[in-house]
Amino acid sequence: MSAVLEVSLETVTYEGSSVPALSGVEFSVGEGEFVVVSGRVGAGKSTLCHCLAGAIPCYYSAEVDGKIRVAGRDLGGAPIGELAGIIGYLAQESQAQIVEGTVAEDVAFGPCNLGLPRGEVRRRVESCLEWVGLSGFETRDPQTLSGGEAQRAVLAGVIALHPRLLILDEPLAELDPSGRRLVAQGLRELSRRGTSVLLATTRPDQVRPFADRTVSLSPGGEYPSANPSGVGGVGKSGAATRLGIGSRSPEGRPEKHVPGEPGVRFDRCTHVYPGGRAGCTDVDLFLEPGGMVALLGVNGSGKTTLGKHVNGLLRATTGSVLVDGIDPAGKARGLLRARTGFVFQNPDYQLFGNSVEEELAFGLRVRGTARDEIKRRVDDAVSRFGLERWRSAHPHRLSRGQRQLLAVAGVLAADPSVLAADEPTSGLDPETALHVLRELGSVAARGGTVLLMTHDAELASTVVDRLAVMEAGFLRSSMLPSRQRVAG
Amino acid sequence: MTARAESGRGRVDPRLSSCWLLLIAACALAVESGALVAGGVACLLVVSLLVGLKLRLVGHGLLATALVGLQIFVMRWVFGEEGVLAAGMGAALEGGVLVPILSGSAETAARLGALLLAAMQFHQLTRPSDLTQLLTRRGIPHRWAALPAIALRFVPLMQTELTAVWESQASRGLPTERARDKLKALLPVGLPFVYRSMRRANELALAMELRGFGVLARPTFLSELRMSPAERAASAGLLVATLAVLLV
Repeated sequence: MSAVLEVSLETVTYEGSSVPALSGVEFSVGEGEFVVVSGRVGAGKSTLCHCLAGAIPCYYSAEVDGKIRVAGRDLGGAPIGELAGIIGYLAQESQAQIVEGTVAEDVAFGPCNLGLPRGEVRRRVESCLEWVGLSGFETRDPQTLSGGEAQRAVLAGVIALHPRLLILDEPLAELDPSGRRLVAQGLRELSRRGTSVLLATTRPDQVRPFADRTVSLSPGGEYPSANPSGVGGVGKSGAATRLGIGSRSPEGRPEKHVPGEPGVRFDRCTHVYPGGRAGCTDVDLFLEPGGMVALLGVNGSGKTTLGKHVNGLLRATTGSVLVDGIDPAGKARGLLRARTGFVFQNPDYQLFGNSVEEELAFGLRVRGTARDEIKRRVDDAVSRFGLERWRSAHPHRLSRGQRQLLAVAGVLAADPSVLAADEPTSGLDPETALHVLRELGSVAARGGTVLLMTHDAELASTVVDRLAVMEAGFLRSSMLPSRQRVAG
Repeated sequence: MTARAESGRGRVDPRLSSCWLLLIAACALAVESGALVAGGVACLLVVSLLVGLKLRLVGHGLLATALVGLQIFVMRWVFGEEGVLAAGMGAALEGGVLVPILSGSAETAARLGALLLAAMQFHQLTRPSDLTQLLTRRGIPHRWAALPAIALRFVPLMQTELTAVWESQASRGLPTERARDKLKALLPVGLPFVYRSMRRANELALAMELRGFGVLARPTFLSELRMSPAERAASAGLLVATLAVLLV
């Protein structure tokens, strides 16, 4: 088997940093081989993918000591445009890679640029959309796609180029289990037909059955990894015992009393977006205090839409939502927002501080927390999430996974009593993901309410009290996780 | 296979929407009567709603125009027509001076408003890829021809990004209810927004290059530009009207 990709990297060091983000990486990928590059958060997977796609040093300034050869040619300094049709690259954030105004046009973008006849372009668009399970999405505006749908649409656009080497950075991170299986099987099929595939992931277990082999990256010295041992001690309450987390300290309790029924109640909650598309329909659900509920469902099933009602980011078109007896989109939303937390799927929407420390303190400052208390809570968050070495580092120097950790830490530092988290473990390795879920669970253990929106049912089952499944905007079922069913 | 977005954007040929834009620009710049310009703006408002522009968006545009008009009024009133401080001449306090300055400022604002509404309609009616194809057909290199389309695509994307940043910071407890809160939120909302914009631009450029953008001077397009007879007739009519406005 001839090698399509040969990598021999001594070090890759970003501008302004003295510690290499990547060091001592050497491997090759043969023609038609499917290789998984695995590694924990901050191991340098995205840096490696950037190097292989020519984005480093063309787009991101870094010093590369070593060699990369693709299809027999040295990559160093080659214009990126010349690699089109040879390398297909799917970067971590798919929405940012959408170029055109409809899904079909976006998939056609690459083949059109290569000057293929219109008939051939249409054939490729049709087959690639079918391949990723998006047939029927041709005329959809990419902005209306969910994260997982967008990821599949961009993947279709990359595959449509028929590249010799596919480089995919976390292509399964935002996909539901069926979408993951579909894409992984499709990649296996592509590699059988001669396309070499290099897939970087924090979850190699999800693709290992389909791949030929795995290359592991160990963390470089550049980034932290969450410290699972930082999880609090075993609690006393039922939930705390189940979750393996500590009880709430007296000073951490909410200062203000919010009247009304504690917990979150969705009463026939329906949300219709402008344009008439229903995000969720007639949802009846009660999230009790001290409980953690996972909202499961495939991409686009309405999980995020429902979750955004919790802190009033969306208002029910019909029906109602009450958080601790208060309408979160009503006049008292200011008071409620100071007590609710929302972890967004994309951490970059909230990071703006000049340092990790400043970022963690922001949520507390705007809530008017005393200076000493801010310092105490920031110290606590830093140690719980293993961010000690990066206290004064700029958040945007961290990897995507670490920014995710920082965003979660920032929300938790504010000690919310009601918390909604949208795919907070996306792109995290299993160990770190479990740590994050346990940290989120600590809110429930202290008597708060947690709504977790995820498509990782397996991982969620290990920590939540109840699973609720959404499908096409409807709440289909609510059940106990298997560990509790077995115990019962 | 049709590639028209479900949003309804791109319902007419870009040549027709260009002719419409040209006519409005000619009217806004060449018509002398202020009353006619005001009437034109009213017509444009109706057309804006008919082509599906959101009332809120139109309202924001008009508010921005009104603010510009107010600035023009204040500048003229304070400095006078010749740039000399009117207060020094005593003119600023004379009632007879105030009315012509007010009507002149309103007329300028109305002309700007007409141009703004026409640009918004063009954006609503024109599919970015159709615009690229049109410019490429006119002999403009593809790299340059694609720029307006990319810019048109980027505007709504940035609106979405700004909303997401705003929601994210509000959900962290940042007060955003009052005007004073919004001013104070400029930094925590502005910085992530600028960062996201730069990052998105970078990643978009990389994705485009790796998908062969600029490799060929004349790439193919998924759908061909074809004008219906009705669109041809309408375009011809608009061109004649533009000429009439400019000559008469």
